[in-house]
Amino acid sequence: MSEKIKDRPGQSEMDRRDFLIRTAKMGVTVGVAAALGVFLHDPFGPRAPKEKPPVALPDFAVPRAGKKMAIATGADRIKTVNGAIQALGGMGSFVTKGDRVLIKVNGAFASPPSLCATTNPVLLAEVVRMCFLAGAATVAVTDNPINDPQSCFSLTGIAEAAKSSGAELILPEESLFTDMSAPGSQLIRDWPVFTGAFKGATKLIGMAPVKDHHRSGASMAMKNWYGFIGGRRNIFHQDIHTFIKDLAVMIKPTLVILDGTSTMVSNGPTGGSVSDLKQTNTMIVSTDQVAADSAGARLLGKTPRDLPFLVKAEQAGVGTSDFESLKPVRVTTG
Amino acid sequence: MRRAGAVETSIGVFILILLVTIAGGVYLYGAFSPNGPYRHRSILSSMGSSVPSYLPGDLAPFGREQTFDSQTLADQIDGKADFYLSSGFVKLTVNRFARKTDAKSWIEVSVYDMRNPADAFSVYSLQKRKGSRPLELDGDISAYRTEDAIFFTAGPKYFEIISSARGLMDDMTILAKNLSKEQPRSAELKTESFFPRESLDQSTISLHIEDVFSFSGLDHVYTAIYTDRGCRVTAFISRRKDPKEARDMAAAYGKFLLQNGGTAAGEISEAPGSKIFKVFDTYEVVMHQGRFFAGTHEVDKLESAKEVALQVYHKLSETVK
Repeated sequence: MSEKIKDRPGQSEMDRRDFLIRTAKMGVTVGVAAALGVFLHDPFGPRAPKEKPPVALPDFAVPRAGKKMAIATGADRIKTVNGAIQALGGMGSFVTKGDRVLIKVNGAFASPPSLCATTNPVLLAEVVRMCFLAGAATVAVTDNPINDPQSCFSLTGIAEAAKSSGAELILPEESLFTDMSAPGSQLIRDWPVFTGAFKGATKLIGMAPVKDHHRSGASMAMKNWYGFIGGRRNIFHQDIHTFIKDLAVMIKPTLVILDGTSTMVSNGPTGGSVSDLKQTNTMIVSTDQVAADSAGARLLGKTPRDLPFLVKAEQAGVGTSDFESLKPVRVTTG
Repeated sequence: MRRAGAVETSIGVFILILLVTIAGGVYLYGAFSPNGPYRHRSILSSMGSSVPSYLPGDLAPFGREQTFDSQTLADQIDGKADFYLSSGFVKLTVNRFARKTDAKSWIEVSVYDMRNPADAFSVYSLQKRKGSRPLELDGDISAYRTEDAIFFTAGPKYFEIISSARGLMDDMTILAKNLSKEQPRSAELKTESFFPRESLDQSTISLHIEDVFSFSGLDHVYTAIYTDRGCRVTAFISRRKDPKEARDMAAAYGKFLLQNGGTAAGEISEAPGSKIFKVFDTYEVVMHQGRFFAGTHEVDKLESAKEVALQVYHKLSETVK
């Protein structure tokens, strides 16, 4: 006998068979959902993430070069950078045949080269040329400007300088960042670092302009490593001096080139007008980033004591703020 | 088994369309928002901006408009973000425009929306470039230009117009004038207009938002530089909520000076309630008039400190009447 079960008026009738099939399906659905719930249930709840062990980035320093510095004066960047590097034994003392050189520029803003908020493109092209001349197999140029890297590299002239001189431009793609903790660092803990840029690199050169900085007092060679950091890195502005020290502990460059030809003495780090610049005609090249920044501080009318990150980095053993102790070679270019 | 009715089918299709629309919205946000995950797409590659009415004819939009809020401001201006965030920042809008005949000649217009006109004036005044020249814009808008840039403030907005190359100043000036005409006017008398004009360097008027003169209780203070018989004098005015707050602020600041090495050095008889303090080798005059807390700060010569303070007091007295 087939009993008919009626739904609401206007709906089709349901027989016993339909009813049993539907009930069975519902039972299976509820059962699967319950089993899934049991399977996914975590009786311990969320736990604190396990911090990965600290990983050191490669040490790019050339041991035989030691700690040295040259300060060249002059208005022509090509002459001053050649003069300073020549005074340190030439680019061949740092870059040798087959080296894969990574150049970290300051390309943080999409601003024109005339504002000197970013690495000067003419200077960059010259340093790339010098690297190739010394025997470098490849030269790559990189930075991580948070906002629209392509526009930053394009409008600063960095992209064109890299291309015209034969260097590769490494864009900060997300896949090139790795969460890591840096040994000896207080703040770089499980944080995205631009490690992909270092892949295969055998030498590292930092190139930064000398600038006033609203938060840290100055932006020079050590602050320039900020571009190797990803994520919402502006939170580190809360303890900017410790963070810059941490960067300097983490990054061990072959050489830093600090461009004080036109120093941004006000409204840094963005500037906005040539009125923020002062012609200081100085190019500083050093294997000691603390010494380079200490010399650069003078161009801003400051001493290392005015910039706590220099004191902290010196205390951490990164370098010396008494740059005169390195007996810098002074060069005057015509 | 019963088939779904027409109403149920319609509801199902509607839900599916809604889900597809939401998915599309999420993708578009990610692709085009500066906060989105696909932000490596260059803004210069898209030329979709509409032409604003303030744009001179030989310029065209160069890339699309970008906006930044308090969470993303540092992406655009890095370490300078804190300066704006502590001064009432609301929103930044950035547009670039290039010469139609030469894409390398471009200008960037940054419009900072601030909480109120005072905050906008503060960020304008505290970044004023040395050696800049005043620029005449619409009405009483505060503006100046340098060799390669224009800066001005109107209402609650602060404007920066910077350039990539020389030879763009004419276009920038036209743009600034057009842009300033579009800004709403305020009938309220500005506090900075209460500084007496005689021997005032108008370009030095600044507004300090907090921790003024290293005194954490002191905020929203206008300063201006005067020259009195060869002596540089910093005068200050702060409009408070009511006369009592002005009086209390004068008392609190005087106490602060005494706690930090200052000594009482008399008063100005023509300015009732005023007090003079000697702080190491400089002089401070502290006074109040109606809602205003005012005075002179760190002046080398006592006579100059008193003279300028008295001028300020008289001007405020006229205002209070």
